[in-house]
This record gives sequence, C-alpha cells and structure tokens, in this order.
Amino acid sequence: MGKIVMVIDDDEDVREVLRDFIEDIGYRPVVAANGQEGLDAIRRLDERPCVILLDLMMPVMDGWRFLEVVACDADLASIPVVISTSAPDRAPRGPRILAKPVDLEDFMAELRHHCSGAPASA
Amino acid sequence: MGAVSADRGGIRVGEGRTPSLSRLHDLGAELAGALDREQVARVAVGRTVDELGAAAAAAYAEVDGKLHLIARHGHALDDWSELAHDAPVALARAIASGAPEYLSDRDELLAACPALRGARAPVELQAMVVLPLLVDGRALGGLAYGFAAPQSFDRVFHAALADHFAMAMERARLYAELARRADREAEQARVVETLLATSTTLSSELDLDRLFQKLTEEATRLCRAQFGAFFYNTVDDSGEAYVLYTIAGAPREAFSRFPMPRNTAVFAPTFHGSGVVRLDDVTRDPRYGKNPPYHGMPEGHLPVRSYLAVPVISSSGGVLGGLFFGHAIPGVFREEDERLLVAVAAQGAVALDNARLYKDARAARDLEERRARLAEEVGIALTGVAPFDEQLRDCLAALTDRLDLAAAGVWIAERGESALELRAGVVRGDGDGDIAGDRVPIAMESAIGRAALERRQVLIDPLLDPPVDAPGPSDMGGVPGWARRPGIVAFLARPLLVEDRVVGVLALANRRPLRESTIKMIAGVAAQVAVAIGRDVGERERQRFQELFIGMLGHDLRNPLSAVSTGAQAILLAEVLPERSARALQRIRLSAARMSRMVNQLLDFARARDIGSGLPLVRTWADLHAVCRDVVEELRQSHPGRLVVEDYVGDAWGMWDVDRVAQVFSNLVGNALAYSEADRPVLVAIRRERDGVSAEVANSGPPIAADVLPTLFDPFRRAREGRTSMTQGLGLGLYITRQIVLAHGGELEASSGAETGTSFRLRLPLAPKE
Repeated sequence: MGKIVMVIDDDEDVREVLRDFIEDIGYRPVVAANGQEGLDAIRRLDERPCVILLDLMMPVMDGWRFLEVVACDADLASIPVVISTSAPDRAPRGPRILAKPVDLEDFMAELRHHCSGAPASA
Repeated sequence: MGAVSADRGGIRVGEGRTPSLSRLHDLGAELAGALDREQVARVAVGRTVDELGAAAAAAYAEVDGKLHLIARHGHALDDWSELAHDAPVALARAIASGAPEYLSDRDELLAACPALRGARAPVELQAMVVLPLLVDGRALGGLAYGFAAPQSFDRVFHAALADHFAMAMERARLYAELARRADREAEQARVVETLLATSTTLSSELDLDRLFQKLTEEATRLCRAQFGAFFYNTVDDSGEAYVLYTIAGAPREAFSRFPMPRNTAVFAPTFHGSGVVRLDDVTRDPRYGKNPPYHGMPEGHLPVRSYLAVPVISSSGGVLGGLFFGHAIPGVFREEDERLLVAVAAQGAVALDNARLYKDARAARDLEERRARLAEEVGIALTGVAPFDEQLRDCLAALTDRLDLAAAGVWIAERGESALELRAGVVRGDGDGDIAGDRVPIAMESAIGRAALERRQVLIDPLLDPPVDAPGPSDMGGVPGWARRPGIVAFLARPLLVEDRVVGVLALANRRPLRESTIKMIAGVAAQVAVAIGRDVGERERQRFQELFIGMLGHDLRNPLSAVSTGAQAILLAEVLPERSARALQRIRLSAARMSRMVNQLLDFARARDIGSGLPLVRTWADLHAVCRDVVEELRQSHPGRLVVEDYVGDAWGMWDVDRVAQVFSNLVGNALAYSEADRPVLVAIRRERDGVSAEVANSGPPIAADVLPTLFDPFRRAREGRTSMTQGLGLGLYITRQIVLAHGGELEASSGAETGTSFRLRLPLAPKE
C-alpha cells in the first residue's frame, strides 16, 4: 500500500475525483469535507499523510483555521500542506498554492516531491 | 371833507381859545405809539376831553357792518354800544355822508339830535362836534364830543384832528392785519416744518418700537399736549394679539399701574377708527364716566381735561392703533391741532405699514437663512464616510442646536418589521440622561409608532399629563418617557417616507411651543433624513447582494467547475482512450478552464465595483522585471513561434501585489499577441522613472477603431457592442486590468494608429501613497 494523501475539500465531486485519481496513481487517499473532519481523520490514522491538499473556503472549520491548529500541534506541524483554492490572492503565504481547478500534473509533481521516500511512520 | 380841507391853509388858531398846532403835533406823536384801534380811540376821546375842554366824547368803529362803541370819556353822551348805519343819530348820519357836523349851540344840537331833548344827563350839552373818520373816502368809524357851553368851532382844526385820528386808526388796523397775517404765516410754516420733520423721522425709522416712541413724541410736541400716548395692536411670534403703548410727557409708571384702555364710550371711536375725538373738557362730555370699574379716570391717573384722540389707520383699512393726548387745562386743543394730528397720524400709518412690511420681510429672510443653514449642516452631516449612526447623530445635533430643541431621536423601520429601532438620539442641556426605549412598536399606543402606522405627523402641544383614569390610546397617549420630563411642553413625531414607504420616524421634544415655522424646518430635515435612510438601506441591501454574489461566484460556481476540469484530466491521465474520446475530454477540460477564467473575471469585476473598497491588494516587495519575465515566458510556451521582445531598463523593485501585476501583464501581452499577425513581434518595455515605473506593451497589429478607443476599458464592452465570440470571453479583461492598475495608484492608457500600431502605457508608483 502507498503513502497516505489527504484531501480536505467541501465539494464532494472534487473529493471523489481526486480520491479516484490518487488511488489510480498508487497512493492511499483519505478525504474529509472540512478542517474538523480532516483533524479527526488524521488522529484516527495509524500513519501520518505525506501531504495534505487543503481547500480554504469550507464550512465548520475553514482552511485558515485548520492551518493554525496544525501549526500549534507538534505532532502535525511537520505534515506538508498544499493549498488548493479558487482565490489564490487570499491564500496564506508559505504553503505551495495550486489554483482551482487543480492541474493534476502540478498535483502529481507535488506528490512526487513530498511522497517519494519511505512512508512516514505514525 | 373836501371843502374843509380847502380852508385849512388859511387857519389861524387863536391863543387860549383853541389848541395850538404844536398841540396837534404832540397829539400826532402820541397817536403814533398807539398800535391798535382801541388805543387810538382812547387817545382820541381822552384828548378831546382833556385838551379841548369837552364834557364828553365817544369813539365808534366800523365792525362787521355796524358801528361799535370802542372808547368814551365823560358822562354826558348817550352810550349806545352799537349803532346801525341808518340810526337816526348825528354820528351815523355823519359817517354815512362823510361830512362832519358842527353844532354850535343848544338849538342846533337838538335839531340834529332830537333824542337829546328831555334826556337826563348830568351835564346838559350845549354844543357838539361829530366827525366821521375817513381814509380815502372810506369810513373807519366816527368821533363825537360835546361841550357844556355853546362853541364857535374852528372847523379846519377839528377836520385836521379827524384826519389825525382816522390815519392813526387806519395805521392800527393795518398793523393788526399785518400782525395777524404774520401769525398765520408763522403758524403755517410751523405746521409744514413739523410735518416734514415728522415725516423724515418716521420714514427713517424701521424699528417698530422706536418708531412708535418717535411717533408719540412728535405728535405730543406738535399739539402742545402735556402728555401723549400711542396704544397699538400687535401680534407676537406665536400669533397672540397684544396691545402695547408708548408714552411721551409722562413717566411710564403714570400708565403702567392701570389696565389697558378698553372700548369705552370715550375710547371706542378711536379704536374703531371712526374719527377724531377732540374735547375741551373730557370730564364734561356725556360719554365720560359711564364704564365700571373706574367710572372715569382711575385714581392717580394723569389729570386730563383737554382730550384729543386720533385713530391711526393703515392703508389697508385696518386700525393700527390710536394717538391720545391730554392736558390738565381745558380747551387747549384747537381745530388746527386736530388737522395737524390727522396728517401726522396718516404719516404714522404709512411709516407703521412700511416698518411692518420691513419687519415681515426681514423675518421671512431670517427664517429662510436659518432654514438654508440647517439644511446645509444636516446635508453635510448626512454625507461622508462616517458610519451611518454617527451621521444621524451629527444631523440630530445640528437640528437640536439650531432649533434649540430639548431632545430628538431617529427610529428606523426595517422592512417587514413590526417595531421601530432607535438608531440615534440627542438630548441637550442639564445632563438629564439619554433617549431610552430603543424599540417602539408600530402601533397606536405609542406616539412614535402612531406616526409610522398612520403615516402622519403626531404633534402634541401643549404636552399635559394624561388623565390617570384614561387608559388606552388617545391623542395625548404614548408620549415616551424622555419627552415627559419637567419643562418639556411640546412633542412631535414625524414619519420618514421614502417613495411612500415609512423608513423611520423623527421624534423630538421641546421646552417651548413649536411654532409653525419651526415645524416647517423640522419637516425639511425629516425629508433629508428619510432620503439618507433610504440611501443607507439601499447601500446595505446592495452590499448584502454583493457579498452573496461574490460568495456564489467564488465558491459555489467554481467548485463544480473544478470537479469537471480535474475529472476530465484524471481520465486523460489514467486511461488509454480512443482518440475521439480523448479529444472530447480535452475539449471538456479546456472549456471548464475557460469558464473558470471567466468566473474569476466576474469575481474581480464584482470586487472592483464594490464601492469604497475596490480590488483588494496584497502588496509585497517585488521586482517588476521578474514578474513580467515569468508572464512572458508562460505566454511564449502557449504561443509557440511568436516573438516577444523584452526591454527592461533600470531598477523596478517596489511594493506590488505580484499576482495582480502579473495578471495585468498577462492580459496586455496576451491581447497584443492575439490581435496581431503571427509574424509580427510584440514589444514589452519597462522603464524606471523618478518615483515609479512606466511600462509599455505594443504590437503593430491593425489599429483599434477610433470610436472603440474611448470605451476600451469599459466592462462588458464586447457584449454591448454586439460582438460575441467563443474565444474572446466576457470583455472584462481590460476593465479588470485597469482596475488593478488604479488600485495600485497608477494609470493605464491606450493609443492606436495605422502607422504606430497599438500601444498600452501604464505607470505604477513604487509604493502606496500614505
């Protein structure tokens, strides 16, 4: 089994397309509909995701809040985050940003960059 | 007389028997000092008795067709005080004929004057001279003197004596006539002069109170009254009628202790304007003393006997008031005083009318000025960038200050709500708290709610405590607590209407009754506030819609596009497909990408249109050369074979939103490539200037039509021009490009010509203006 790639996005179609694509190219997809679901899912996993593709505008817990929580959690702070957003001008500076609609070749480049080594252990 | 005069030259007055010529001369000198007829007559009779030894003498003068006795001396002559010209006496006869009569003895005397026969007199007259006093043949009177003994008369001497007396009498008459004429002229001159002076004084005075005082003083002086008063009707600002008065010749206290004069029998003709009343003694007038409580003058009143009252009547016919004059001595006021005062009263009426017109005009102008000033202040308060509640508070502060109101508040009715919400309140003076009760039901039981419900002004003035046992809505009811404080007497609630919809209520309280003019000004302010609320509601609705719209574009519309695009790409990447299917998928993917770009443009457009905020920028320190170089490189990739010439000079670091600036260059260079032939190059140049950077993107493509150039940066330009194209998008690109440049504080302009090609020039400052 490949490394875990997490997708947090409130649009179900986007989540499902990406889940299938991630699976097709040999990773283990974990999807969540908002930041809170994402945090819950990570804490249930036996292994840290090698990268999180994070949407910004979401209900319950948005991407900005998710980033704050992750940054303050020593366990999670080291997980690479790539932001996928339709408003790149409002995205926080720092993480790599992929404008929506996400170009899958760009996304694969990110996966190759973050997830090529041995799977990170839990 | 002619025959007598002819003898005069030959006379010789005998010693001892008749007076000498020197005596005659002395008599002339004495007569010269006599200035009236009576004095002349007295001298005449005196001298005839004293100097000529006459026993009696009498002088008569012609007055109104009769002969009047004006002087006599001695006792022997009958003293008819008045004689007709045709009386059967020697004197009348002599005056009628003009011939003197010399009656030398008793017989002659009795023949001429039969009435003397048998008359009992202390001295029996024996002789008499009867002389008509003639001047130019005109009889002025006559002189008779009798003697106790028969006489031999020197007729020339007596004729000369008569001439002397006649001349003296005529001189006295002329003198009296002259004196009378001089008096009359002086009187006329005085009247003309005083009328002129009064007129000048009155017409130069536009202040009503001073005018009345002057009018009273002038009139009192003119008729030589001891004291005068002017009672006049007036109306105060609140419409109450009053009688005021001014006085001359007496201290104010002389009147102030008494009530105003009423329409008593004496005063009525003046107050009704029916005519002048002039009484020699008011206390003897039948109209006097008929009215209780005083039945005449109150105790302590100035002592009035002579009374003169003249109504002052406006040119419009109304009685403005009355001039009253008094004097302690009866019979002081003459007919000419009355005539003079009627003229003065007429002048006074004109002056009063003028002064009133002036006062009215000035009041109207003052009111208009106040209204305009208030409207201006309210207008200033209700514009600008301050939060709306602050604007309302400033507006209420101006309103309460200018109109000196105790408190005012604005309540706003949200659409569909059944209550009004307090948005701003101002309470002035003595720190008596704030306007409370932020929610007011739109219902009859609240005065404010009633104004909104019935869409009409609720004015409660005077504001009295409602009867305790009268619960439920009444016109007095529902006045809020803040307007029920001590000293507040008036309350007003006015609905605020925008296009016939109640958007709120302006309510206020006042310590004085609200005048009509004040309510008018409040109505003007209410209209301004209503418009401002309408604008604010509209603005908030627009902003809500804007947020919804941006949210929809930014999120709800882009997400499914993302799924379409990414899904199509996922299939393309994962599967080996028949060529047809692969082409169709590719088309889906590119269409979704194009649609995504259009959505982005719409989003930018919506943000740029958001008044006051414009396009949000995230500025960072960046090199414009590098930004541009990346954009050009990307475009070269998507336009293989095209030549883009880059020309960068100088330092181009500054504070810019890198993504947005990249969008500018991407759009301009993309357009330059799209609208020129494939073999023509596109030029991109960036130059450092003193406090900014200038850039140019140019091609040598076909020129932009001259009529299109002015609207090149307008949004949805293509749709408006009726051009549609699958590939050209919404026509928002140049609009957004320019908005980005403007948001950076820069400028963007375009020029195009057949020779020069098309060129876009932009200037960007290095950093935002502080």
